[in-house]
Amino acid sequence: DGVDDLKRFYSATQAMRANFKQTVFDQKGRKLQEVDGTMMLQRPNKFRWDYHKPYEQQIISDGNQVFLFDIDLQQVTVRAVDKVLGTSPAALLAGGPAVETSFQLSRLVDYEGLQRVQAKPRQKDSGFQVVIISFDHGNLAQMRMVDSFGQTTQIVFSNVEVNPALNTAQFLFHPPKGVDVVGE
Amino acid sequence: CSSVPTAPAVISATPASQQRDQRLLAVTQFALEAKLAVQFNGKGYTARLQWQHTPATDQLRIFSPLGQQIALIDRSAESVTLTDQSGKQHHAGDVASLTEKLLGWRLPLTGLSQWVLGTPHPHTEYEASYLSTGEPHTLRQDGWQIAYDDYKPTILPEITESLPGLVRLQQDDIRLKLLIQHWE
Repeated sequence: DGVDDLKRFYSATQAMRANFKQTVFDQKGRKLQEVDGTMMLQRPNKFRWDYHKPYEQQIISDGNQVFLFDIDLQQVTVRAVDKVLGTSPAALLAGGPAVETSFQLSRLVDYEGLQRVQAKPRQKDSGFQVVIISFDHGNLAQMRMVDSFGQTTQIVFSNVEVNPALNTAQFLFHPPKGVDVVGE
Repeated sequence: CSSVPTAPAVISATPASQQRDQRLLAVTQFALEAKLAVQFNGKGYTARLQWQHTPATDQLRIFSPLGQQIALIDRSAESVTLTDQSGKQHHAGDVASLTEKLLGWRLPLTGLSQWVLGTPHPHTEYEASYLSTGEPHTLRQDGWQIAYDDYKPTILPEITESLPGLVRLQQDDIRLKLLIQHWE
């Protein structure tokens, strides 16, 4: 079921690469934003999400620090990865096996042929009410996050590669010239 | 439309700038989506904003780069309230003192509701330099230095006018960069 799939995802999938399409809906279900991009992760805590236009940004974690690079604004915000772990589903996917320390897992019924698990952040002010992760016969398929204002972010993965050989240099961030780098 | 200012900015108002300021008095409401970069004493972050403005009310939704909504600011004639991620409500007399209390820096929303259109508000004096086509290149008001870029013809409910795509504001060690993605 979904919970087993998620646990297997953490143990068997040590690295992953995929394309994604992210759609954001407001509390009334109206579509607010749509963007696609590519993502990759390597346990523990290394991940990289490149969002394409019109919401171009890069979120890169080298395992210690997360670099949030907004390309349009030419500014990078740096945060410690543990500060982001409990609050960001991107970090949730790349986390170490102890996912249950940050999230409470419970099984959901299958939906549209996908096995699902619900993850509720244990950290009170994580900013998310719930994250629902869906698998297609063991392969990560979708993620749906409802934030504390009731807004839903849905991510659909495609071209998923499990345990590809990833060059760890891709998880290092080098700020381009002229870009402001600020801590939080 | 004028994207690159050919002639250097002129300090004194011109017929073109006065006519433009007059036309903009007709704008009483707008809605916009923007990206905001904040920097103050070495710290900073980026966020996405959705702002609905009318003469009597302002509603500002603030989103983190990771996607979730992190705050909702509601201003009415009587009160200003910020609801945070854990649903807690914070009150203040005006938005600037509210964000200073919670975020550490002052968001001059009242002035911004005019400055974002590329025009000064009528309540205090100001200094400006203008492009040949009448739009302000720089503006100084209420202790804020404001610089404008990337003017584009924009259709608003009440008028069509050349509006700025990028607004930089600075006061002491607070630096804001507002990139307006679209107007409604």
